[in-house]
Amino acid sequence: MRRLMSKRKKILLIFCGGTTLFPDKVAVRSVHKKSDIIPWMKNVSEIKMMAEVDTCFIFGGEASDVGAGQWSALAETIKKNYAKYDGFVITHGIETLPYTAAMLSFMLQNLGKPVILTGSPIPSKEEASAEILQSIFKNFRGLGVKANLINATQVAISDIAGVLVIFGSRIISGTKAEGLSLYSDDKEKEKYKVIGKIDFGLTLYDVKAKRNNKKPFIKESVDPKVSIFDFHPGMDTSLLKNILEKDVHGLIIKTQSTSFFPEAVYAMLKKALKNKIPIVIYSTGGFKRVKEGDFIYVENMNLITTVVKLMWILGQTKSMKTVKKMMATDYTGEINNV
Amino acid sequence: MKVYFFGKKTEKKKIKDNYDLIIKTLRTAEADLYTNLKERSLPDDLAEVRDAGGLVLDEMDAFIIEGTEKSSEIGYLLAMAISQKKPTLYLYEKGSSSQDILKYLSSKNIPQTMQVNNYSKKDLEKQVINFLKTIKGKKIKEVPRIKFTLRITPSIEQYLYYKTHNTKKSKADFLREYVEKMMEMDEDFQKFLRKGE
Repeated sequence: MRRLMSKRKKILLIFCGGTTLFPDKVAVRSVHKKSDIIPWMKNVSEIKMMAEVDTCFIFGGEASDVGAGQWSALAETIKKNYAKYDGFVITHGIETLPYTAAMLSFMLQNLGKPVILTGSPIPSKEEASAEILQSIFKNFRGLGVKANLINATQVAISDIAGVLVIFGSRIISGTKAEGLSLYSDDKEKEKYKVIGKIDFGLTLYDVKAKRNNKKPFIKESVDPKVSIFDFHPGMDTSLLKNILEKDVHGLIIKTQSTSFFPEAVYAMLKKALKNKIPIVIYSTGGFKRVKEGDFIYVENMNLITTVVKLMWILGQTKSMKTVKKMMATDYTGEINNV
Repeated sequence: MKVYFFGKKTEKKKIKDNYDLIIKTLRTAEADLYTNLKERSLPDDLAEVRDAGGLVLDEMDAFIIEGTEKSSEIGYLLAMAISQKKPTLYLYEKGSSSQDILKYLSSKNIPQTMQVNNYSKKDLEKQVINFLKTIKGKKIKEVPRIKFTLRITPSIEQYLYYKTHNTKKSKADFLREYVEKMMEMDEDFQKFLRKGE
């Protein structure tokens, strides 16, 4: 008996939203506060057969309210408990889960253990509407938080390492969850992002990191004062001026081509660079105009990862030169993942 | 009926023989068998579910898990089976302590759809068949190989002739089907089967 117990892996289940269960006869369907954890866990007691599970509460609100505070708290919690557990599972509302997954991928580098994000397809706001719940249930074919949590736990005790997202049977890298259609038939697109699947067992296709004893680098500082400006020809350039006059610490200009920029826009952006505001020109369509020295050009990362990476880098340094160098560095396989 | 059978890969002959017997029984019963022990590519309908990110396990009608040899997969499959309320037969050889895994659940959390039984080589086939019979809405095929001598009256013989002549059914087929129908309708007997007695 003692031998069996000692073999059991230990995971820390961290609550950060995304816990709403499908309608059933349950007393507590979502974890909004710490005291909801014990009654909620009674609905998912199956996971205790897989691992020893401890819990920790960070946040119980809507996914739209998760930001820098929660990201730092998650990283801090993992840092504090890293040695005690074999893996970490984070519950999170799916709407903003790709942002948190990307941010944790930068905050928690060189991980030797898995950190798995998963959640319920049901936003907790919809709790009261049985009709909406039924339609979500139909669309997600039973992939409720329970099934996701069981799959996440199985991956959290496996020999994989790094920040990963689990939804349904898919295992996805933390920086590649953008635009993830959580139940989609778009096979080609999904195939590119999926690094493994769980069907009858765990199948891994493209795993860069395996469980190891290396010490992780945990850098949880973030500067949230980053903005995105979607530029198109014919736009009133005063809109850009308004953003630059605010207390913005980094700006991403999303454009199909830099050749769209009129001279007035160039002048404003150059002035911002002089004021030590890093300007990222983001385009997935390539750059026709000659790249100018001070701008940071990004064409090989998805937009969520670009935004989150800039926030994280600005949390580490304000040096324009270092920001540029760090934006071009591939920290966690995020480059070439558009 | 889609059945997923799991047994931890092992070199122990005794356990491998038991796995083979379970597989043979499932095949005889014409179950659509999926198992970790034999490679099989997924048919189109299941491949579609898998490619779309759905849970292939959720498409199974029942699980049979042989848990004599401990494996981390067993906890996962049991957890999934319980959460998806799938009929599940968890088997372990008499004398092994493999039922320990269930101690992490309160009896309230073990659904009626789950049967936990120990077995010996002698009763393994019967246990699998009895479990398959409890799966609602799913018919199984058994080979009638138990010989049974039955003396009947001339009027019963007359009735059997009346019901079967000019049909492709034999009198024995007719009687077997009749008894099978009675078994299906007998709620007390179905409850008895579910208890795994």
